[in-house]
Amino acid sequence: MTLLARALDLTRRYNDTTALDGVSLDIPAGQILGLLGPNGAGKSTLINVMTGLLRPSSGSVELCGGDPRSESTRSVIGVTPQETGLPETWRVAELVDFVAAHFPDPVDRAELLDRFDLTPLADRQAGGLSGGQQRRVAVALAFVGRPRLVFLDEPTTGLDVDARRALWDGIRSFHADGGAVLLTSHYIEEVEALADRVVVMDHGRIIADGSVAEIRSQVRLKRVTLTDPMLPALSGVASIQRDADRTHLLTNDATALVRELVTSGASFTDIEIESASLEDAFLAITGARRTT
Amino acid sequence: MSSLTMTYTRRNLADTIRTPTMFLTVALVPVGVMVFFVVPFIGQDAVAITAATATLVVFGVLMACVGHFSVAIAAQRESVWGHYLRTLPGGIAPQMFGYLLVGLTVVAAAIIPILLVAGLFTAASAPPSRVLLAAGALLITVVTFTLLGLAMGYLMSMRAAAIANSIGFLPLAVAGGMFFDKAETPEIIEQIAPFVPTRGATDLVLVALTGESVGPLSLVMLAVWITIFAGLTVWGHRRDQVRRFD
Repeated sequence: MTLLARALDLTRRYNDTTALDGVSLDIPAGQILGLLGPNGAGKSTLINVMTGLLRPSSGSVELCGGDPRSESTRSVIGVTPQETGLPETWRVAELVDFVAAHFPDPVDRAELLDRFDLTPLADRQAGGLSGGQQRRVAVALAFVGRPRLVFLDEPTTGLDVDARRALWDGIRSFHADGGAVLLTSHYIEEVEALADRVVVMDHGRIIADGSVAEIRSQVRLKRVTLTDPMLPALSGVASIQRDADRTHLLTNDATALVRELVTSGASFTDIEIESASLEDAFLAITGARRTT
Repeated sequence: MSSLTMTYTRRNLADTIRTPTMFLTVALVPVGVMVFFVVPFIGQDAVAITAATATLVVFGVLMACVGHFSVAIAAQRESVWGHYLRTLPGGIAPQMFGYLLVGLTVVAAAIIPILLVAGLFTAASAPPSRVLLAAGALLITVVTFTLLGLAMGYLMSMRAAAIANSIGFLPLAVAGGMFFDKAETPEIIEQIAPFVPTRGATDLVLVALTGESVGPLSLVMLAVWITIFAGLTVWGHRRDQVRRFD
């Protein structure tokens, strides 16, 4: 298994805040790794350190066998500008050509624009595009240099459903050709749809690492959904969410919870028990850490 | 000249032209100073106006290069796009050469009007071979002040760079003895001027233009300053990191 990226015991402090606290992470070739965590968990700091934009306070990063700040390394990675930071007066085609000029074997402009459905925007100035269009251009730029590893920080924030699906297809086709991706997202659904592996961060540390199924099962959570319950105080419930007339209880032991509900004489109808989603697992993992 | 250098030059030039505020300021201020404060007083004194023109040209270069690059670089470092550029391969050299070439263009815009005014409306004159030599000397001042501008851009925030620009030029010019008659230069300025980069730059151009010799001290100090500014630029570029809290 070829390792494209290796972070070893990374720590990064800003004054008296510790943004990264002993993070070690390997990314093998051809993997889509989804990085999850609440705001301030250290995801962007980790990406900035791994792409060489920030130096770690301690620890080391190796990208494709080299220093992330070296020339040879940077020609095999792809990065996307965060937020909408494209220079306003540049036309889309100019942006692509400009980035392409940095790489030895760039993707043909027409092909790239087509792959990300940007052909109609080629002659438009970046400042005149909608936020979602700018986002798509920014993501496309990460793929210009035929990278082996792409860092995508919140790639689909602000995109509508169609644009998001189109971008997912672009990422999947890159993955199918053997490319590796480190992806952060606010949309857990996105990570669930794309990632081979999920890493959960909180407070600058990695607190869970595994396949989507493993992360889900790691927290043996079940989601018990009831209609119109009058709930007594329950002991085995991790969280309670209500929407409209349905109430969702997350629990580690569904059997015990149902028994408790029945013996306490709570009123309810329509009981449903299912495995927790990745989002439930994520909330349970980060929530549990916060209370300790 | 690599194609990447040309790419950066084209992009920087296009940006400079598309948002021309800074460009117009550095192009018009020196010639304005010349028309209103120099020509009316010594316009017909051939020796004095020739020297004054050379001095103003150097001042134009100072404003053009330092003013343009310190703010341009500081702004780039604080922008999301600037962070992105740092992740691309290619290194600092094409960017620096690109900036330098654009610097030359901005400088041309700043000094051509001065030379036109001097040639058409005053008694200033110099043989063509001397003018050519002075142009060569001017290239060195362009390099000096571009490096100063780059170093400032890498070491200062955009706000600090803007403030340094609005208050920095005059002291630098005065300390270098730029706007004094030789006879009337205060003692203290006479003492410190050789150690100030503006003096070395002015002397170099004057020597090339008039053939009068000056002491070696200011020229040696100019070489020292070039080395220092280049070192600061490279150091500033290396230590630069994103300033963003997660």
